[in-house]
Amino acid sequence: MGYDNMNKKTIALIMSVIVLWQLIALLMNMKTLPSPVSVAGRTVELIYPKPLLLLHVAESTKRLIIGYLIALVLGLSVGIISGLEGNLKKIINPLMGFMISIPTIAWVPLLLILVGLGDKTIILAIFLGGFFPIAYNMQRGMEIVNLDLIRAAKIMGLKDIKCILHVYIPASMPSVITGARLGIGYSWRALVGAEMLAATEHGIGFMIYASRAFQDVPAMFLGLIVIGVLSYVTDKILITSVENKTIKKWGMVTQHG
Amino acid sequence: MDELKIEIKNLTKSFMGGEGEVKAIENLNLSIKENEFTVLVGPSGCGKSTLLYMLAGFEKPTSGSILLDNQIIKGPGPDRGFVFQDFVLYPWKTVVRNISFGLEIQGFSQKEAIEKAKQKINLLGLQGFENAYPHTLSGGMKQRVGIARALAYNPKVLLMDEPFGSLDAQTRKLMQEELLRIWNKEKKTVVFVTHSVIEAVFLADRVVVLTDRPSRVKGIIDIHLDRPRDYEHTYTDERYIELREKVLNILKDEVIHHKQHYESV
Repeated sequence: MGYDNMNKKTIALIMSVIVLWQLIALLMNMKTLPSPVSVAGRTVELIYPKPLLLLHVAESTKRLIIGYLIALVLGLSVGIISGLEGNLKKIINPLMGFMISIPTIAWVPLLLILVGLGDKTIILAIFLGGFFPIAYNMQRGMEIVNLDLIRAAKIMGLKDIKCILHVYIPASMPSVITGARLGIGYSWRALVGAEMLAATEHGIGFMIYASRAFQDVPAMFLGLIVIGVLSYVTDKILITSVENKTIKKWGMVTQHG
Repeated sequence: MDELKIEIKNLTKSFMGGEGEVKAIENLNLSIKENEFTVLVGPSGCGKSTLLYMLAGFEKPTSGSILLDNQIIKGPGPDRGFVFQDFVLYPWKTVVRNISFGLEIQGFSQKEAIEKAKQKINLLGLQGFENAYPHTLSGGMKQRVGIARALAYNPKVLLMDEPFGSLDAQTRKLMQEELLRIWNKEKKTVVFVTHSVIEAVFLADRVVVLTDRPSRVKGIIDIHLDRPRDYEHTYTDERYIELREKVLNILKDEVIHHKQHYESV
């Protein structure tokens, strides 16, 4: 199936869902279920004359980027070191298993007391959401590198530190991408949850939660759609583009269809 | 030509297996001369690849020693090149960068390394594929890259672990002739592992037959066939056929022993 054809079908599916939604909203005639038209109207109000929606989006994106980048840098580092150092792995893996099972949102009340309202708590939550899947996958990636790839480099005289840079890391790129992708998904979830509890002014999560006070259901729907679109777009821009330039180009993933 | 290059002395290698200690190699002794083409054959699982991995320095002997130019081999190093059965190319590097990688490690600038790698591209007939990624190549082409990579930094010894084992029969024959052509140009001490007697006798100066586990040297057969060799002439050479029979006969007992041992387990 061609890519264009695929795209057309996806667009057709989205259009049908919107039409169906409009029909249901008209037939049910409920105050609590807004129609796509009313969501669209609310969207316009939130952009013009005051671009409030864009402020929410910009604030959330800023927090996501900061929190996620910290998670990426620290997660990859911890993954690389613990993937190579078996003893360290034995110590930190039970802790990682423990931490990974805690939903990030459960941290937020504690962070509110320790760190307080505002960006720091939200960014910490984003970091906590992204860090563990990134670190864990990087570690697994290091462990499953084909030993012969290392041997081939060692016989050519490559020393340990350079071996990490030139062989281990590129060879574990499929795991890096998996971790980065899971990580950004978890970071998004953490962001929205933390913004509901800790944001003071802006943010998509804040917008959804604040809309509750005004019974502004169209804005809530808008918030859900924006989250979906933004996480799709960040995945495309940050992850899929790297994936295409690396492991897909190198034939390190099997491509179906 | 008669310089002693590699000396294997009382080599023993054992592994810890599921049922305790398994001896892969026991008291193996073998000498290899400079620029000699030595082929190791033996029943499957007999430890010939283990021996090659110890020559490479990937594995350490349990006891005994291996000397290369009178120095004990302590680990892998660029005085040796290694060609793997399943190629083991770097998927993230293009053909030319796979080949130049060893030179870059030796300290050549990227530009110089690529310049030198191009000579090997020509030698292996890889022109036009310089910027291709390995996954786009056929098995035969991949192994050409594997050989070029191992030769690029000019090691003294070339270690080859069943390098043509995963190629189809036609490509395999072609690659054997190619290897002899290259070896004739770039004199190297070659240690080549295979389980194909046809391949062994066609390539070798000496065929070393190993016993079933634990491996020892069962017999050494000198292959005094004219060089250059090619399939068209060597295949029909009576001496070639005789030598093949001779190696097969020595090997046969070992294969029977191997079968009896493993089928009774």
